Amino acid sequence: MPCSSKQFYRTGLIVWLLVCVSGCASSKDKPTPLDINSSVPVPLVEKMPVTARVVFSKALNEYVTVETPTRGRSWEIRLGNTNRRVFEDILNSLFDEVLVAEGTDASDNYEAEADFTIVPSVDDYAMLTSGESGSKFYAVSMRHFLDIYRGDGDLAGRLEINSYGRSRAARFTNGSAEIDLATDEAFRDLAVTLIVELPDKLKQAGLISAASPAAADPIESE
Amino acid sequence: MKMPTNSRNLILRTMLVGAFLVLCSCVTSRVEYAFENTIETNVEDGVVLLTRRDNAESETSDKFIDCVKGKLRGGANGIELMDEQIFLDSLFPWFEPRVAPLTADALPDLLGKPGVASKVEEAGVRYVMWLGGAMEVSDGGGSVSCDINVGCFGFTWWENGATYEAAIWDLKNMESTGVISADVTGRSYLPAIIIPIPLIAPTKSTACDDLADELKKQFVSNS
Repeated sequence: MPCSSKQFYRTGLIVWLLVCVSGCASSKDKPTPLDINSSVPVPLVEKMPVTARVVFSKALNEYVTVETPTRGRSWEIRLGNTNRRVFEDILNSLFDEVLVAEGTDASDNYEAEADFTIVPSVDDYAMLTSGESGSKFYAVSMRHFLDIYRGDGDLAGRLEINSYGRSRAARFTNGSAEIDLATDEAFRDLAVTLIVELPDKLKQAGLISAASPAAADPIESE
Repeated sequence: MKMPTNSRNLILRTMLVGAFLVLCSCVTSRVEYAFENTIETNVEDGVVLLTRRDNAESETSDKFIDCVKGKLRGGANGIELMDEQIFLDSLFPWFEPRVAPLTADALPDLLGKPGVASKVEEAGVRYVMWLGGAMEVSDGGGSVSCDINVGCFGFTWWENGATYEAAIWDLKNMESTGVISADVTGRSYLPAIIIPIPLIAPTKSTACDDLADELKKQFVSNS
């Protein structure tokens, strides 16, 4: 029996609503993966005449976080190798020699010839969409820690780096390009802070001489 | 078929109100500059326009920056600008928002850093133009309501204020060359009689034109 056009439209509407609801549910349940592949330019600084040892942990190398905004889809942000690459690039620019080790703490794969050991870790990654903040921007903030150990294995200090990045929201996008760009900016900001603050921290701890190249001193500005 | 007199009157009135508002959605602009002399440039004196990104609340929009760059490059006395990103990358991190100098007084300190002066010379950049400022809605009123059967009715207006500033630094002489600021206000209207008719004041484009024109006037080519 042929169904009336009213019945046909009603059935169509119900099917469409079901598809929408299931679509929403699946997008909330399963975060959209987003691989971050940031890099920073080679910094214009003078190398310090020291040998640094850096220990990269698996947690840093494979950092993944799920961000769920109050509105819209949730994201699985995969920082992956970007953390490691940025730290390696900047430390190689700051120091004469950098010895790379894998592990979780300063004693892992110990090499005696290093003047000090740095163990970087990522503590937090947070993201704010333009919809959440009510602004025209997507914002990303990250917090990293650098534990610095003396040659004898004693903890000499900890450097906390808070970095920020943002990007202008475009129309008719799902937000992936904006998150990517804001994260790029945050890594750039991380690199700047590392260049400026790490030498100071090492000087305070007596791990490099106070007369070491002042390339990384911040500019005095009003 | 003849149109009813009432409808004809309504359309006529709408057109009159529209014409009145077009004339009224005007823009007022004031450009101020502080330069001791015009800047005499040679072929080798490169110029780069950098955006101030240290104010999180009011970041200059990319569209405005592109507009100013386009106006500066264009025309008979166009200025050749170096790519901003290439300049920032080659001098990383010294012009990044967290550490960039805020005044020209910091230039000797910056150029005294190892490798910075030679990199600037290698890039061929002598003048840095710092561009900052933004546009914001300063006032407004009225309302428009829409209905799916009869359309939209009402009237709303808003006023935009834009303040932009360009500071020029001479990296060779390590000093500030001058500052130009453009204050622009514009009032936009949105009357709605069945359909909304946006009458947007060209605040941003006026600020762009005025700022770029004045900047170009300050650069005199010797080549």
